[in-house]
Amino acid sequence: MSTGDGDRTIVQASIELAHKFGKRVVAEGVEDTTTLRLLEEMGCDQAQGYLISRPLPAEHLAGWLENWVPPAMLAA
Amino acid sequence: MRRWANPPVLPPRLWSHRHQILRLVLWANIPPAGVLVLLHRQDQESLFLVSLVAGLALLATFSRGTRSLRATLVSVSLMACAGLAAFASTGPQRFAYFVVMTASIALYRSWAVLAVACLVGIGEEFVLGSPEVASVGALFMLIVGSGALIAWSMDVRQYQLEEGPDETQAANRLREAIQHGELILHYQPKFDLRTRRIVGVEALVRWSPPGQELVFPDAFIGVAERAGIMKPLTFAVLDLALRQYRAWDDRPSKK
Repeated sequence: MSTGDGDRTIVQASIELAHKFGKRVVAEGVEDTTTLRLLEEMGCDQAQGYLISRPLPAEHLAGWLENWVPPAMLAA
Repeated sequence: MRRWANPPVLPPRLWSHRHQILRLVLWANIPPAGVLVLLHRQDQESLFLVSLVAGLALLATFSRGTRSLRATLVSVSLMACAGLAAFASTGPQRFAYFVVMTASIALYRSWAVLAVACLVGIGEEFVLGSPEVASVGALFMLIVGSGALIAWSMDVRQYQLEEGPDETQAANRLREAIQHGELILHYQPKFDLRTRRIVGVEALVRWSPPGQELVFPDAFIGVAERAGIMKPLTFAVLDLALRQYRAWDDRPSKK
């Protein structure tokens, strides 16, 4: 997505379409901060992917949450 | 249905796929066996037969429609040509024939292939050798082939999800897994881009067979769909997710 203009247009349009239907949008498979920033700019609501965390067993989740540092964003 | 011409592919996690690697190694024996035949019998008919075998082997490897009649025909003609190639080169080259045959048995993993191998072996010896040699050859073939097939059936018990020629077996195993609580959930956090906080998790199903590596849903959802057991699977997952939700909700609040 961060490389192609066409892809970007598709993502942007999908986000807008969902918002017009009053839905929140989760972007899956986010793997790098460039993509995360782009999604933020486009007004995407939530993100999920290896950049944040891979799927974890329930017992690891609490520990992960305590040590977790949010990725750098546009608004510092 | 049986997968006749399943191409041997080297996957990323080596040890858990050692049987596939074995198949790959066996597959790799076919070209050297062909070269052996050519070295011992330098004539045009051997050249023709060996290239035919090699061509069909390639075709079988790259034909992706593993369930098609075409793939079955390809593997059967591959067997026939392997037999013919061995026939055309009787003598010390019998070794090559055995390599081709055992590789084929290991690759196609069926008793029918073993039977064909034995019959071709016996026939060959009857035409060009003596009945005694024929019986010894058949016995050898039977021992080697049975070994390969027994190894295969043990392999299937462990790896039926990836490799299983018998889908019913895999479906039954999955049904048991659901009943015995072998399904587990992993949770992938969801990050809110505005509040910059984790706002939830997505529950993803995994199958954890006792003493074995974790199986990912892409390996068993298809089986469940075809076997009509998506409903119990869905309820099992829902049950797990709700229990976990409850467990998290019951914890003394510490945010």
